[in-house]
Amino acid sequence: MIVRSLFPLKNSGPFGPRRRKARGTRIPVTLLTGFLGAGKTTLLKHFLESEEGRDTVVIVNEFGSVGIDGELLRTSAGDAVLLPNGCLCCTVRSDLEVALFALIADADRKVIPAFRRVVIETSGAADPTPILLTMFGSAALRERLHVDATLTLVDAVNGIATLGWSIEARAQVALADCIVITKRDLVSAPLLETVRSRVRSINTRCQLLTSSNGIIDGPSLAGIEGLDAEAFSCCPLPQGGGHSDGISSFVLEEGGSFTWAGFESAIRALLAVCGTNVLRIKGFVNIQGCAGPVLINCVQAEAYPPVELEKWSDPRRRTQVVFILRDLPHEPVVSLFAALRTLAATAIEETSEARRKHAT
Amino acid sequence: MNFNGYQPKSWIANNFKLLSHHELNGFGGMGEGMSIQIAPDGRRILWLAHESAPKNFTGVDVSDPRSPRVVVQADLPASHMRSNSLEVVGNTMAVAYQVQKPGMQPAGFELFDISQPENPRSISFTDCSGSFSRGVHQLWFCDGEFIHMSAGAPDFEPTHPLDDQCYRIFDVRNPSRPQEVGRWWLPGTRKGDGSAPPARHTAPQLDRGFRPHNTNVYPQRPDRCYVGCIDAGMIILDISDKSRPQIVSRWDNSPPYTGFTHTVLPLFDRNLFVVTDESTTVGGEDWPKFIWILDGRDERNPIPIATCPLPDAEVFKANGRFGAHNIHENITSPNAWFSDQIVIGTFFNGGLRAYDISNPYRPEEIGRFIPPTPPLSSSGTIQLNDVFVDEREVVYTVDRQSGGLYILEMDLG
Repeated sequence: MIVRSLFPLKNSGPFGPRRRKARGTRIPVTLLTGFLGAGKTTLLKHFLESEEGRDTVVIVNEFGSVGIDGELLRTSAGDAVLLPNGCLCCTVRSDLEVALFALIADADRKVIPAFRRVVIETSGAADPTPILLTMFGSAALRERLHVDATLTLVDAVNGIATLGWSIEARAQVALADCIVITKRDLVSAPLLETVRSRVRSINTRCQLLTSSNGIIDGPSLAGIEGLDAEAFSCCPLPQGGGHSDGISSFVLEEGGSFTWAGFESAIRALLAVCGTNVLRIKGFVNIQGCAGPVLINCVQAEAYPPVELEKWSDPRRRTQVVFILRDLPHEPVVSLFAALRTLAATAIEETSEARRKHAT
Repeated sequence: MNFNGYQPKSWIANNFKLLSHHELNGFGGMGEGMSIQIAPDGRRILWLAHESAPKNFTGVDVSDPRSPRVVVQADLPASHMRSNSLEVVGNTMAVAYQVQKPGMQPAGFELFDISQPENPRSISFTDCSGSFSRGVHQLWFCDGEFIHMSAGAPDFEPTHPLDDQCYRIFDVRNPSRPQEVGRWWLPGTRKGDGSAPPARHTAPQLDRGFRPHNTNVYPQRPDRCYVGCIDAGMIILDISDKSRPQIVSRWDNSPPYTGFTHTVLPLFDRNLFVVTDESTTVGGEDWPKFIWILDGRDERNPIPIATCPLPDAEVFKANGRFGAHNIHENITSPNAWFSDQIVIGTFFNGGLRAYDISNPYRPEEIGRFIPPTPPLSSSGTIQLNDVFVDEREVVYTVDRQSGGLYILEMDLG
């Protein structure tokens, strides 16, 4: 960017200013999903009534599903209900992107209170992918809003059965950044463990929490981030993914660094050849010339611009990237990046050798 | 008194979180002196200058920012005095004293040994009083050797009473015997200097005086003083010879703006200047008062390229002052935060606001903090007056009238 060369920032790298976290100062968005009866409404109501839930906009399909009372407003985005605690609950009937922009504009014009968080509650049987594609694919939305996490709720009581017969439920789990097993107080410890294992068989890398009565055993909804570096590095490494509807996941983990040109080319090649088989790519990459990890975050072929963080939480600076694939074995993907590393190392050796020969 | 308009009844915070609030024992009218000391016993003491009598300065233990505790609160010797400005280097504190009218005393600056924060010990008092002097309004002290100040002097007779302070440099390497080593004034503002007096600002602009306000000197350029020179605008001085400061450049936005250039913050690695004008009237009479961003690639010709967006004037201007004033100045200290990307400033009833200037052509507000109207506020609204951020990135901001000290945590990405 020309501005950067005119007025360079000290704390900047090839991808612009280094950030503490991916979101920067954009408004965080949490995508709340989960099958019917999983407890989304309970969790949401509890959050909206908390201090952290102040000034939140909630986007729902129907007010009735949330069961809330408040002052009715007519906004540019559609009908809305103004709740206590400065929260706004609104329905979106058509275009989510248009509705979100309308809310931002309404807040700027003070038609509605300023908001500092958005929660998008999907309907129970919805695959969250289209919403994610909307959020990731709009450069204008990305400037103001950042998807912090896809939070999926799984009912401890009925979850095993639901995951057995519902493709949508399995998709919700597969795409989750964080899964909360709800109603843990209503099941035995062995059954809870069974639910955990089933969830893990679908999504091997996400943060896995439990809750009861809408209260999460751990961070609140506001504290859940899909690409939190420390949590990411602490999550257990999967040993190859489970298989459900052909969905599998694995983590590419490398000790060395990549050139950005090479790494980006490999991602582009993967998406060009089999993009419809790639559901999600996200993680931290050690890129040459960067002091901190570079975050990559893609939903199918849509991606957030890469962001360099200020520092590594993992002192080993290991690249860790999760691939969630459908009907695609992970070995060729692993081989693609292994070949990239080999070629890069060969090129360096060849260049060094050529220099030595030239010098003599 | 008209109390219509913006009166926040609750806290407004975006990307700032309140850690604690202290009303400073009922003396919550604070000035523009904020400085951190790490005491010999390891405590972190925030030293604050009061805006007016009866209090001089207050020391607050902020080792735990969630639980601040007043450790000392000193009184001024006379009700016609105000301190308003102070700085700390190590265990030495410099405090400015200004009086209400020329000729009053005591007026000048005092150096304190604060190695025992509960018992500040006066090292020396330097008299700056005189027939035409109101003493010291503001001082800058960060290298432990020289104090740069806006001050009157017994031998400085201005051509206009509002131009009664000049830029003075004192060598304090022997703190018991400060010695003046240099002085500068806008040509024409001192009687007998041989230059024509400057043309006064006339209505609708306000005549506030052609005298320095902030006089910042940074170790990256010890040969430069960056002066917010009230109605004279921004002035860069060459002080390589401290006995003879020379003008390098001057940028003046008034008229058509309403003057009172207050602070110049150079961002050396980025070739930028951040310049503030201070709002000094109520009701938005002197609107707009901006934080300006200037292209400083050629210090001889600084060019304004942007302003930090102000909140809606129609909403805020009704009560008290509204507009820019102080910013976190990146003062060179191991106990101060540094950022060349984020500017944090106070806007009186506009609260505290943070701006991302990574693209300096398009500053973006990325955070705000507006507390509710403090009890006993004479203007019926908050009037955040100054801000300081320590190296832990804890934010301290103070109210001008009664609200005292607000301590914040920031989450600015």
